[in-house]
Amino acid sequence: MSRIVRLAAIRLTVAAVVLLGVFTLTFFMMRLAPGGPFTTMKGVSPELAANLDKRFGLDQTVAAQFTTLLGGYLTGDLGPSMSFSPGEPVADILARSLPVSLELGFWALLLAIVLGVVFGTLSGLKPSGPADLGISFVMLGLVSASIIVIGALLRKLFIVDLGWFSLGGFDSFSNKVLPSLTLGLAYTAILGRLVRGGVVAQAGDRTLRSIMARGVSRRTAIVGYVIPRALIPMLSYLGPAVAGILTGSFVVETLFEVPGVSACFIQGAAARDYPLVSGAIMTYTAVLVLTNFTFETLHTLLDPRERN
Amino acid sequence: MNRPERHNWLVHACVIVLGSLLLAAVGADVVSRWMTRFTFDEVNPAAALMPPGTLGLPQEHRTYDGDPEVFDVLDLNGSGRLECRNLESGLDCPELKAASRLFDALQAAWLSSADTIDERRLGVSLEEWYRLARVNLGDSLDRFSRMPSPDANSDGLVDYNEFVASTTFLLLNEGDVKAHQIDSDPGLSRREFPGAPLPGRHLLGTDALGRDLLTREIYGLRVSLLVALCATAVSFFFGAFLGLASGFVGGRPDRVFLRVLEVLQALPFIFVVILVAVFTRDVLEVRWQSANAQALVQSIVLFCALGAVQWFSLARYARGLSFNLRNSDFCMALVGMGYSPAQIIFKHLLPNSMVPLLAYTVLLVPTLVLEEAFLSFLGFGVQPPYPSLGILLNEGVAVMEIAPGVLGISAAIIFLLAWSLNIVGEHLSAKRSGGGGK
Repeated sequence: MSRIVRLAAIRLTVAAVVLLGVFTLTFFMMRLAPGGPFTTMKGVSPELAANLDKRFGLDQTVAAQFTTLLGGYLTGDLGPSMSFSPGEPVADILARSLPVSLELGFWALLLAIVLGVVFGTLSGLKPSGPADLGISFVMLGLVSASIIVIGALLRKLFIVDLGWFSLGGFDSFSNKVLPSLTLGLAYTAILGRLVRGGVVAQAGDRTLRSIMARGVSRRTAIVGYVIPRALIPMLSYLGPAVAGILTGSFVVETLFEVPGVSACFIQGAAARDYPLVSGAIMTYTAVLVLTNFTFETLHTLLDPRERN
Repeated sequence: MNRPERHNWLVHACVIVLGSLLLAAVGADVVSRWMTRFTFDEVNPAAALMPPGTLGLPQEHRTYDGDPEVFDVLDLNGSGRLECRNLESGLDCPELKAASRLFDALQAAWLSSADTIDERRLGVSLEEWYRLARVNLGDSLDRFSRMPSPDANSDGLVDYNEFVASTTFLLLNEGDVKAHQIDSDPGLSRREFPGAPLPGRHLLGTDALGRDLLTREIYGLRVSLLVALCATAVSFFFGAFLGLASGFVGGRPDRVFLRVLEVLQALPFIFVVILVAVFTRDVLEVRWQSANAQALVQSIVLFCALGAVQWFSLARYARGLSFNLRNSDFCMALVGMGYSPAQIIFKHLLPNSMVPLLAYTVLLVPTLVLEEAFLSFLGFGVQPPYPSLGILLNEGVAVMEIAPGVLGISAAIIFLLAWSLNIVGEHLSAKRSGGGGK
């Protein structure tokens, strides 16, 4: 047990170092470029820009700004937004947009897991059979089409042409379906391939035959034995998948005008809104680091080989 | 591993598709000069996207994306169109200028009076907002009778969100004007929009700015392939060398390397690439005057950044290869003969693992093509006037309601490219791991 605690401690330290590193990198990359949040704003005179710089503390040295913001992060104050929504606390913006992104990611992941398990099992049970060839064909197509093409075509078909769903926002069934579907489909292909590999390895095994020899029906053997075993490779991929789904939401949030964290980040980055960019990046990094930490610790707890 | 044989015809078809795409990309100049007779940034105003209702607008004010009511207000003389009398100079556009001025004035006023109100929440008073709107729009403001109050939460203060919401209701965002009143307008007809071929001039029609679509697609393909291939080379450079070295050295450094890879792989690198793109764009805007040089340098930085964050899985693979080779007889012999690790890695390990490494690297190309498209789509990748597949997709999405052809062609090209690259790449790696011939 002490080994697990020690491993967890090491991982937490690494996580803290990673968070600090990302924070520093983000901060200096934003500040060292010429220009600022107010220099490119429309209709802002140089005097006004200077006033605003002063108000938001941009006239101080970069080092002083760094310590101010870092100190703020340690006490839970993420600073005020500058050009995206001037004066509004970044924490408020994130509190508004993070639930949207998380919900989108949740539906997408759910869809990807369900579809991935169904199609992966179907194609893995008879490798190189017609079902397998057809499904592999479609899956590779989904990977190649990428989120942009899938999303753009879905938007064109279901919003513009058929008018079944609505565009923008994320508060009702009609504007939640397409973003979740797009993001989910992109990951169905990857999860499906992993499940297929697991099913091929398990179903080809003699164990399946011996279970059936005991009088268990084929269907029960597959559902009760093959599928649970086949899910293990998929579970170990879920950590990276969460990361991918978070970054994949960039395109989806842009394409379907979903007011999530990615949308804030993109507009903030284009408008040079320093605190907002830092806030969005740190939110994502924290989510990723936490997810990884959880999955790794779970892995250590569950896998006897890792325990000793 | 028997699948490559069954798919042979498919692989052949993909190789042919890839070959023709490559040929088109390499021969883009020939196509442009002899077939389409247009360059990728040549604007042809006669064939440009001119939605009905925007007759004679200058290039930068081509599309209207706003509320029909707003359109009526901006249309100061009530003619049903936003007019420009002097298309060449683009100067004589009182209606558009009023709209543009309004946004500037409101934003400046909002910002300058902002810090008098409150420590945390910035805003202007409602009276001030109306005064500014009246100064800039004159009597046409009265036509906004049905507009909701700009102070949405009724706290007597128009804060930034309310300001943007109410002003976008009024204004043209950066002077953009998109299709409006498609049915009732006597201007150009739907058939003359991009995607509709104009016989003898544009084989695939034009894009939103009146540039030849076929030429742009081919140049976009070239730019995307170039960026993806360079990025692949960069990631091959990092991945192969670091991976081979780590596997060969082994022991503690190797374990640390793997651990670092694991941490790096889990980070949201797309953020870093976007930040790098924003950073270079701002630096370049100050240092370089020429837009073309800017776009070029931006692309180089882009593929370096993309390559630099895509080498982790390759490094892991290379590490596995050299880890297996390090205990082979020839490696032992080389160590015994006193060769330095660097010599062994460069002169013996690298050539010996070149074929599997390259087969693995081919699979990186489609990923990088899609990453480039993804960044350019969001506006952080290749910069205009250069086209790339991502930029073309973005433009296609912008005009898909009136000209679905632009989106369709771009989507088809990027899909074909990524798909055939994936199939060929998988075929190559399956052949490597399954056949084991050479």
